[in-house]
Amino acid sequence: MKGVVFTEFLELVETAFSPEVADRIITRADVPSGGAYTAVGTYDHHEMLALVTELARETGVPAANLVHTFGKHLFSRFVVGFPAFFQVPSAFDFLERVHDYIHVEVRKLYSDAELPSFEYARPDDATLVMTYRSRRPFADLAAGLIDAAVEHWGGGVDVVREALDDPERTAVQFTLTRRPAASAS
Amino acid sequence: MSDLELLQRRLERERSARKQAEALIEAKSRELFFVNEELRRLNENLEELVAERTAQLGERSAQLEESLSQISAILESISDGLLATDNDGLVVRTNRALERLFNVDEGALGRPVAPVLGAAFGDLFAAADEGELLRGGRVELELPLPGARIGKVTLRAILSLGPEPAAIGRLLLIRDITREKEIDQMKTDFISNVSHELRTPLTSVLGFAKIIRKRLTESVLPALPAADQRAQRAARQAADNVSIIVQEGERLTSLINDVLDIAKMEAGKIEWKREPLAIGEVIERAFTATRALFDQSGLEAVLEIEPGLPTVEADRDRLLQVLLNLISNAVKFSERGAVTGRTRLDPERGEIVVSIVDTGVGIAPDEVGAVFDKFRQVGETLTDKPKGTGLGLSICRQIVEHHRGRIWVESTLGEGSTFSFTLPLRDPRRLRTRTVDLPQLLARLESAAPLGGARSERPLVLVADDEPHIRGLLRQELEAAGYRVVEAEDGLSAIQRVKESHPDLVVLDVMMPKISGFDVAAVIKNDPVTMETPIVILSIVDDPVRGDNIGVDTYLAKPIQIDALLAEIRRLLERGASRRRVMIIDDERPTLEQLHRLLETRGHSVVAVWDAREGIARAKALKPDLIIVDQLVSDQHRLIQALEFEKELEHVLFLLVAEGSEGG
Repeated sequence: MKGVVFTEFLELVETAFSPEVADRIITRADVPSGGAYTAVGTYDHHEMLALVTELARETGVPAANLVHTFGKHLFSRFVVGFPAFFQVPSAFDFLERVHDYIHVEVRKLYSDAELPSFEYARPDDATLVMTYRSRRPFADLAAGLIDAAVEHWGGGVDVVREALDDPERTAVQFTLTRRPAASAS
Repeated sequence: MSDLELLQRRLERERSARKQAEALIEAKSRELFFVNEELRRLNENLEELVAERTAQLGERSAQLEESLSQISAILESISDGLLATDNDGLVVRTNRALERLFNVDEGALGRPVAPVLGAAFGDLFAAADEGELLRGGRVELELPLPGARIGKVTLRAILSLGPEPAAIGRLLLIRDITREKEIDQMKTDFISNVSHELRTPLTSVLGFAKIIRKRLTESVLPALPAADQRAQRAARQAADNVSIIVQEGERLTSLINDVLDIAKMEAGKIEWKREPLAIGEVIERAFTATRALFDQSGLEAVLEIEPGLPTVEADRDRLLQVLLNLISNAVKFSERGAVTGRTRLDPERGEIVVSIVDTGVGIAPDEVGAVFDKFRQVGETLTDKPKGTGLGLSICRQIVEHHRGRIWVESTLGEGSTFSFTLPLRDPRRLRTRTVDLPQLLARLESAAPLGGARSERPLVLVADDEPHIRGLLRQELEAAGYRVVEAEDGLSAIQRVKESHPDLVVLDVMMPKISGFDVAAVIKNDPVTMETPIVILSIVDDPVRGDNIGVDTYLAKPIQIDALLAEIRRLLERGASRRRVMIIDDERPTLEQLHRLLETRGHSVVAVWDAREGIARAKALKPDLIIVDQLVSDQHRLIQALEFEKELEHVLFLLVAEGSEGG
């Protein structure tokens, strides 16, 4: 997992809770890197799972909620860091480009990046179906990112999450439905 | 846990993270260096490859250029003019020869053909049969080129190479054949000159041979004592030998005539007449004229002529020539059986098919195609005695093709041959039939006041010819026939003799020193004292139209056919008493020609004009006995009134001919 996810996570923990909480979960998780992360490095995703688990224990907030929140934070950091990807008119346009464009660009910079795959379907004009598949259990992170994207482009889209049966990987289907304009606000 | 400890741990983590980042950056730098190295090497390879490819391309394009310039050099070296267009008819290529012929430059490129080469060429492109060109056909014809030159022009499609050729344009080749034409003309002139030169001595040979034969049989043989068998035999043998000279002389004459005919046709020097005629009547005449051949051979002559055939427009004499040729061939190559003349109307093709069918030896299949070629004789030349010039059928073909017809032969060896030709029917829109009651018209003409005076017992004939042999021959023949003869050795003395001795008839050669025969005839016919004197032109110059215009009564071609000449002289002298001068004024040439012919066969002197104004002038000059005027022409020009007021025409009889009727 890319170092930027760890550095962003720890920064979020330090500001949302406190540097002490951050230091505590690092010490308790006892991760092999010792909690020394650089954004340009790459680390085992188990360290992230361990950190999240310790944060949940420390704060009493469920891990899924923490990861979801982190996803939304990560989206806001991406908007600042890579504004070029966000010059599109709608959340649908942005999300549809994640797999075939944004992830391709990421691989050009980080050939060792391990990225989840997305499949898309457009049963009708108001609906986008995105299927998340990954060897790692970060569907919550994806959900946070998707929710943040919807909010970024003004909301008005309902997101329904549904776990799919996949023996080898985490597979989740997100169905995004644009609400009629009247109730958009 | 103190704040200090917390800070120390954080610092430791940050340092460690920095070192990781530095190590990563170093690794990335190294990676970058190697990637750069790789890139440089690839770049070098690429440059090498590009240089190699560029060299190859250069070589290839040099080869292409060379082969293009070779093709260009070939096109420019062609001595024929060459012009290519694209499918839109715009010029894409010309060569130097064409540029010289038409005095154009590269500015011709991209323009249509007509403004570059002239309208005639534009028409050629427009009229060419597209389908025919795409099948690989071509259009060939002769067109005038700038500077009074003549070009042989070939137009064809430019077809792409490959299994399915498509037209990518048109190709025009123009050969300047002015020189060839000149040479051809020289050849024709040469042949006709040589033929003329041959005919002059031949005339003497033949004429004197005939006189010798006549003398032998009429004077010498009867005078020999019957007892002297040796002298009898010798004289008879001499008569036989002379007959062979006559026969061979006649054969030589017809050969020279054929050669001359072919030369004239090929040079386009024949004047073709066109008149509506009934082909059945022409066939009948041909069979009548060849009756002697049938009598000699014992063959039967059969006529199968469809009744009610439409008329065709053709040259009567030339058609007769074709038929005579086919019939005499049929007789020549048949030992028994019949020769059939047959006609058939083919309404679909709009033509009449004329066939001459024989029961003769037939023609081998491999020779059928060649019989119409020049100098072609059917059969083995070394063993079979040739029976003609080998030009007859070639002449036939030229005549038929001139009438826009086809000629061909079908034959089975040993069973006989059928020679057929077609004549296209006249364009029905041009048909305007008119019925003229000719017998009634003639009766009226001949009942009009008689003219002319009595002739002397032994009429005087002036013979004008610069060849003493010919004069001698004619003198002998004419005197033998009971005429008195006066001679003139050139044109000038001919005119003097006419004035001095007032001959009853003049026989004129055309080509004479000082004054030509035509000029002599013109002088005689324009002098009121002598204008009535009949003139017979006897010449190797075949220009009866000119003779006719001057007012020559009869035009005979050399070599002299003594019998025909004597018959003609007799006819002209007898006619003097009953002969009428008739003038026909009509704007319809066929009607006019029909009347003309009919009246002439009745011995009248006929002048035909088809222009009313010319008619008035000619009537004043000629003072005819009768003027036949078409009603329409007369109405349009108030012709009768105009003519009746002319002083010297007050006794002239007028006949008005109207549609379907006749009046006076």
